[in-house]
Formats: sequence, C-alpha cells, structure tokens
Amino acid sequence: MNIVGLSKTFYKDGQPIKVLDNITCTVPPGSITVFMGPSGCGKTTLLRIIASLESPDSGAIELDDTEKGQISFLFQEPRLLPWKSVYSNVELVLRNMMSTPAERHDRAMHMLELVGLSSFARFTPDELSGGMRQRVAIARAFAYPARLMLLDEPFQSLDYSRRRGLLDSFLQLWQSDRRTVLFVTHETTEAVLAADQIVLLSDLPAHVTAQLSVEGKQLERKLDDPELLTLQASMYRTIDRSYT
Amino acid sequence: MNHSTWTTKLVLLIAILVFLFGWHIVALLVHAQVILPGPAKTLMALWEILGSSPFALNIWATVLRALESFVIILVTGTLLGIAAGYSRHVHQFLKPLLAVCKATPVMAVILLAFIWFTSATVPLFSAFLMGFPVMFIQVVNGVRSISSKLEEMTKIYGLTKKDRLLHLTIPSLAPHIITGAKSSLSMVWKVVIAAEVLTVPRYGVGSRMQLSQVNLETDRVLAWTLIAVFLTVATDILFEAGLRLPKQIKRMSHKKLASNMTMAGTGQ
Repeated sequence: MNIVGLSKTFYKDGQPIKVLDNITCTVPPGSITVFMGPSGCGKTTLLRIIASLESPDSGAIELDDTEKGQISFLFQEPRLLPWKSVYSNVELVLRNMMSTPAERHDRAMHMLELVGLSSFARFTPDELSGGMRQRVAIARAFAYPARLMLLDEPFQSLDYSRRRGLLDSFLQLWQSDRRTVLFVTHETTEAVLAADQIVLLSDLPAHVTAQLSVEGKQLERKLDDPELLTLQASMYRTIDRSYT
Repeated sequence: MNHSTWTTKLVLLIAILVFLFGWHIVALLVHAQVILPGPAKTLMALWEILGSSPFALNIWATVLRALESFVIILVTGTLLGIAAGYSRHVHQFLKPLLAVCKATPVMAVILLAFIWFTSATVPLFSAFLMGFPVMFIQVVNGVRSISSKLEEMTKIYGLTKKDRLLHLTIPSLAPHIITGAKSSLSMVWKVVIAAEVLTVPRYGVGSRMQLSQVNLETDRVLAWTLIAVFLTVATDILFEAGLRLPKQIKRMSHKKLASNMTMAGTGQ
C-alpha cells in the first residue's frame, strides 16, 4: 500500500485545524506497520481515511491488488453488540461472506478457540472482562476475510500484562494468517514488539518524521534485546527532536 | 422464598388491608350507599356482575378495542418513529400532528370522534390519538440513541442493510419500544374505557359503568372500576412476564451449559 501526500483539515467553530499534512509512506503487503505519534496527532484520522470512513482533502491511498476489498478494523473499544452472544458477534460478520451456517460456525468457533474463548461462546459481552471483550474483537477481526487490517490503539484501556497478553494473541494469529496491518499506538514497547516498520508522526499537523524498520520475527522478540532497546532510544530521540 | 420477599409481600398485604379498612370506615361515616358503598357491598356487586350473562361479552368488547388500538399504535408508532428518527423532514412533517395530539384534551377528542364515527370506533380512534405520540417519541429517541460507533462497526464489517436492521437497529430500539408500549398500553385502557363511558356502545366496560351511574348503582360503578383496574394490572403483569421470558431462557441455557461443562470436566 502506498499512502501518497495525504492531507486533512477539520473545521471547528469555523476555525481550520490541519490534522494531516502530506503524509507519504509505503506499507509492504503482509507486514505490520506501526504508526506512532503523540496523542491527538491524527493517527485515528489516518486510519479512518484508509477505511473510507473519512475522505482526505488531498492525496490518495494506493492499494496493492491483494489488499483491495474488505477491511478488518480493531477499534479502541471492542464495539461488540451487547445483546448478541460472543459467538454471534463473530459469526455475524461472516454472513455476507459464507453462505452455509456450518461454515460460519466452524470459522467463528475456530477463531474463538485461538483467542481462548471457545468456552465463553454463549456468554454476552457484559459477562466478560474488558480484556476478554477485546479478545472477542480480535477473533472477529481475524475471522473476517479481509487482507487489510487496521488497529486503532485497541489495547490502550488495559493494564500492561493484559496488553502484552493480547498483543501476543494478536501476533500469534497474524503469524498464521499474515495480512497487511496498520497499527496505531503511542506505546513504544508495543511498536517494537509488533512492527516490521515504524512510522513516526509529529504533533499537529502530523507529518512523517522518521521511518524505521524492525528486524526479526515478532514472536521471538524480547523487550530487553539490546537491538530493540537501541531502537526505542532512537525513537525517543526522534520524538524529542520533533518537539524542539 | 427468602426473607426480603416475605417482607415485601407482607407490606403489600398490610397496605391493601389498610386501604380496605379506610374505605369501610369512610363508607360508614358517609352512610349513604348511593355516594359511597362499602367494600363488602361492592364485592357483592362484583360477584353479581361476574355471574351475569353478558359479562364476558362486555369484557371481550373492551379488551378487543384496547388490543386493536394498542397494536395499531405499536405498528404505526414504531414505523413512523423509525422514519422520523432517520429523516428530519419526516419528523418536521409529523410535528404539527404530534403537537395537536399532545395538547388536545382527551374528552375533546372523544366528543369530536363521536360526531365523526360510530360509537364502537370512537374508543379505537381516541386511544390511537392519545397513545400514538407516546410511542412515536420513544422510538424517535431510540433511533437517535443508536450507537454511531456500532453503526460504523457494522458498515466496516460489511453487514447488509437487512442484517443491520435485524441485529443493530431493532435490538437498539427494543428498550425504547418496550417503554413506549408500556406507557401507551396503560393509557389505551383509560382512554378506551373513557370513550365507552361517553359514547355507550352496546357492549363494553365503560358502557356498563355509564349505565350503572345513570341508575345510581354506585356499587356497580365501583365494581366495574375494579374490573377495569384488574384488566390494566393483568395486562401489565403479562407484559412484564413476556419481557422476562428471554432472560429466563438464557439463564436456563447457561445452567445447562455449565452442567455439561462440569460433566465433561469430571469425565462423566
């Protein structure tokens, strides 16, 4: 995917607020690209434009042939239908894709099994913890046959250990089904553990300040690995520079 | 049955007994059956009415009118409420009708309807005009409170319009439809019976009340009033029971699942 010269301005009380300023970068297919930047810098707007929920003022999204079509989206909140069971929340997004109930059942249950929630299939979201609900959302996102997956700080409301657990669940699923992932976060640890490529964004109006690549398989990475520590230090230096 | 349930029931029983005792005392003090007959006399009148031959027909006529009005209100209020919730133009178009319905006194509606329609149709028409705004406003508010985040999610995940309606719109509206239905149902009973009192159709609870009042049979007026209260309370209880049913089914299926899991865990 190529993001070419993307700009967006919002208007509040008649005053223009430029959010994105000529964002340009390349996202290799089947990789995880993490977009990092300060809170409120327009990361979510960027994902919403890619998902066609917003339109840009200028610029374009050029998709690879393999990425065209459906999009999976992991939002900041799980966004589960509260009146549906865990199973139905996953199965529902397959109805337009798979005609037979048996196919949908197998796929939904398989995904729930992968996130460790198959025994909670008949529970409703309000009977689950926050972390479990977000795991259902992950199962739904992977169950949906989209080649492009957008993640908008999906683990932000959870404590560190739960965040790590969910990130591991996500990466395990991704290893077995490598889709193009655009992952928005402001956590450097999440970025270095998950990314093949990290795109650093400045404060408003957001522009690309650095593009860094991360080597090695995601699931084999350790946070105390000297290379990752150096990378994190380099990220902090770039972020500090963009503020001065 | 636990302690708190017993206490609640006891308090309820005491309240009823205090009310009946108070009624009895006031009736003794008034000492005029035409003005206020006591509870015993009223119960005797009720017993007589229950045994009289057109009793079921009177009840059935009122129940049918109330249910017909209720179904019409439920369907039109829901459909037009959804349309107005999504379209500002439809809402604007219906605003004058709503303002008139809300501001017009019930009696004025009934009297006008009596000029235009037959006595059997007046209760239906009046109940509709009074109950419709309640249902409509609830549904409009329901449509406006549908989560935009969930709407966005269903669009991203490519749900068809039919699936969005079935799995997002209707369940989101359900609490509002239930509240609207409950409020309009209790209003329907009151308006239908009031319209029957004024228009005196051949059969109906309101007609019997009116005839008893003309004949100065106050005990029978009170007995018919008790029947009207019973009908309202009974439909309210049935309504609540209907609402509890899905939860009970879910709880039972959870219990079944839990016992299956326990059996699987112990290798049985």
